[in-house]
Amino acid sequence: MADKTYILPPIKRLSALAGQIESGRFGNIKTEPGIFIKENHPLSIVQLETREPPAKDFLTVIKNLFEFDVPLSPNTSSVSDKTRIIWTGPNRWLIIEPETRDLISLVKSQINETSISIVDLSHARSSIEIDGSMTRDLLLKGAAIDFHPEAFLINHCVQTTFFNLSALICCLDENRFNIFIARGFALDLLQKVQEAAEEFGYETL
Amino acid sequence: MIRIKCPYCGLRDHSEFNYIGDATKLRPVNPEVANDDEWFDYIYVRDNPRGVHQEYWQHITGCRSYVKVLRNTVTHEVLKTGLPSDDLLFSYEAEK
Ligand SMILES: [Zn+2]
Repeated sequence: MADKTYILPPIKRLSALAGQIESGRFGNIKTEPGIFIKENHPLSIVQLETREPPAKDFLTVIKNLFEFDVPLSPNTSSVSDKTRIIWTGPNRWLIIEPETRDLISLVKSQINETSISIVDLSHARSSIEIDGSMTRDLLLKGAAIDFHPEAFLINHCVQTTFFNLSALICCLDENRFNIFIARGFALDLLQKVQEAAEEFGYETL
Repeated sequence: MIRIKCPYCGLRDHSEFNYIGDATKLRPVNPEVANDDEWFDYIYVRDNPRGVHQEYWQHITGCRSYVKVLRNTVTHEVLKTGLPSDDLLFSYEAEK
């Protein structure tokens, strides 16, 4: 007998931090908060892995799709006004953009090479953005990485342990950073960041 | 704190890495004809050297690549790191 067909309602995107962020100013605020915290949601995130050094065809497809090249050096990312591609390992990248289109279908429709794996991670990652004059000091509290502005440049990205959580940290701007984390750790990350930001005074948006 | 230089990501704390194992053991060249002793040796038998040792680590919370590490088991000094295909012991001896 054929399986019964169920009509399921469309899946509504719900952030792992939905209802968890209380907006306001907290901690040791003197004049202005040293840290501003907000969540980036919803994002479209696609992982690409070529397994071997990327072929010319692949590089051309990406260039045509996003109008810039995939970053080939470790710990870097390439960016346009809406899309960012991050190097996350040898021959592995994350494409990240605010959710405005069906990114996974778009990428799949352009790449026919079966040896390239394309995985939709949009629902699997959460992202917290921190801004403010004390962000680099905050990051130093959680990771043994050199966050000095001369060492950790804009568009620089690292995967490391941040407060013992496996995280991807990206520098968007002088003092603006994005932290990506597995969805299940989103609340833990938020709490760790809030705790670390207390001494600088912080505002959640 | 031991710091290990991942050939891709650069110098990182060892807490970002998982220890994988002895990198001096080689898989039998002809697996089809290798006898039980050769397999037993490859799978189970490990030396426990005092001094320089070549081992595999994995940059698990970073780029997830395997990394070969030449480490002094007495001082924990990391003498050299490289790709899994590198022969670190050979280049270390050659540079001495
Ligand atoms: Zn690495």
